[in-house]
Amino acid sequence: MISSFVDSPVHFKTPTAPGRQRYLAVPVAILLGLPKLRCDLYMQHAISTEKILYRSHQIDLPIAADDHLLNGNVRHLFLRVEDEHLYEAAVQNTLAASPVDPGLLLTLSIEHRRTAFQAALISNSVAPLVEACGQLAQELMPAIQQDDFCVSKVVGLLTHDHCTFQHSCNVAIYSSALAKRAGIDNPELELLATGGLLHDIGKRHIPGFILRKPGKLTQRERELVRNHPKSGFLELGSLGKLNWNQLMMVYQHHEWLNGGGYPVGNAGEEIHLWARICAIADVFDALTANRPYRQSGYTDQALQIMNDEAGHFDSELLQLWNEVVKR
Amino acid sequence: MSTMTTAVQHIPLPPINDELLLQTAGSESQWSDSRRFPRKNTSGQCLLVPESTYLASGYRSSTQDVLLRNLSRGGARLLHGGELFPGETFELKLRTGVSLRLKVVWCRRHAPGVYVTGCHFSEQL
Repeated sequence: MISSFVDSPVHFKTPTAPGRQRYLAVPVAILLGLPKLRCDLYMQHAISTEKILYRSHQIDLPIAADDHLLNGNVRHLFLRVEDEHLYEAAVQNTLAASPVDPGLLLTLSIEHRRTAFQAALISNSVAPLVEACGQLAQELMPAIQQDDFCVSKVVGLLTHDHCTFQHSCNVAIYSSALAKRAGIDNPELELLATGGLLHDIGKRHIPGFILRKPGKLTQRERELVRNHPKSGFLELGSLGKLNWNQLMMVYQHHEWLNGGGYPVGNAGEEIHLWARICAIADVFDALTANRPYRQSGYTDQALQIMNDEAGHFDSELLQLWNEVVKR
Repeated sequence: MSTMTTAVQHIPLPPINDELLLQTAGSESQWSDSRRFPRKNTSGQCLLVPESTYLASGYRSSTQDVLLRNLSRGGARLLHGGELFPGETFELKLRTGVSLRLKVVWCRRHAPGVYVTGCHFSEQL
């Protein structure tokens, strides 16, 4: 499965009624980069939950020729589950053809690895997930390492969904971009990207309805959410495949520089550098993502909010992040 | 900017005063508690000797002087100067010569260089 099932707001674990057609949501940003995709594409009906045919597979034009998609606010189209292999093949073919725009390369790499990542995410063992993240981090590097890599362009391309996978990918990319600006280079940069992909692994143990809850959390729910850095750290630490810098990204990414964060309440230099980088990337993605509990934001507004809450972040790194985004 | 954690060989106790003792003591067990075992406050000094739990990741823990803040048959609360991490295992050496093996469950920073940690004993006392 290359993308999440979205015939309901809940993802791939949602049971579907027998005989009902199932669809995969695919980001328009990806479809625009695929020269040829020979399958029917559907749109969400404006009122009902039904999907309506948007474009037949018989149309032999690149998807980028559709002005409706370029100009409109459509973020996802849908394809039938049985056509998934066609989509996957088109993504792989585009990845194989070079040169590709850095932003598109990133999104294609993420799509390419989504299947492995999703499968690993629902497995009981964390080891396949760590391996999948290592491979994805490796694939992200060529785009991030390019001189003309530009975060402000990538923000528009990266899709946001309610699933932790996409958030993890975004945080990995933002963390890498900031780390690169702070002078961290390969092979450390790749390890940092892997850490970014795994930073929220502890959320696997939080029920989905709590993660997607738009309202205020109860005391018990808040405790569960606040426990995710610790549970992720314990799970990955016992595996013995990550270095200490990566483990600190997982454990400390909710610590604030002024000591007001969790799980320990560390302050200043007591917080690991990689965790301070991850914290900035994490909050930036939260502010720019189209999450159920927050309307879409813009990068300038997100930066403004972060600058106003400067006590939370490493001021030196935040300054660098401002430069990276405004570049 | 340095990224790797360098371990200190031995971390001494932070300066202790009455206020700190008061703030870091857990409440003693009440009959209404749903705890498995009753908890008693104490303030004995001990030595915490690490087992290198996260050595594979490149992290080496330090030996620390710790102040035992409370004790039950299931676990203990410690006050000390260096951060401990969940899952780490230690040997707690009491002045009486008794050694207890314990595992870190949580650790909170109380003040700069002052941490309070909750641990489970590996074997119930």
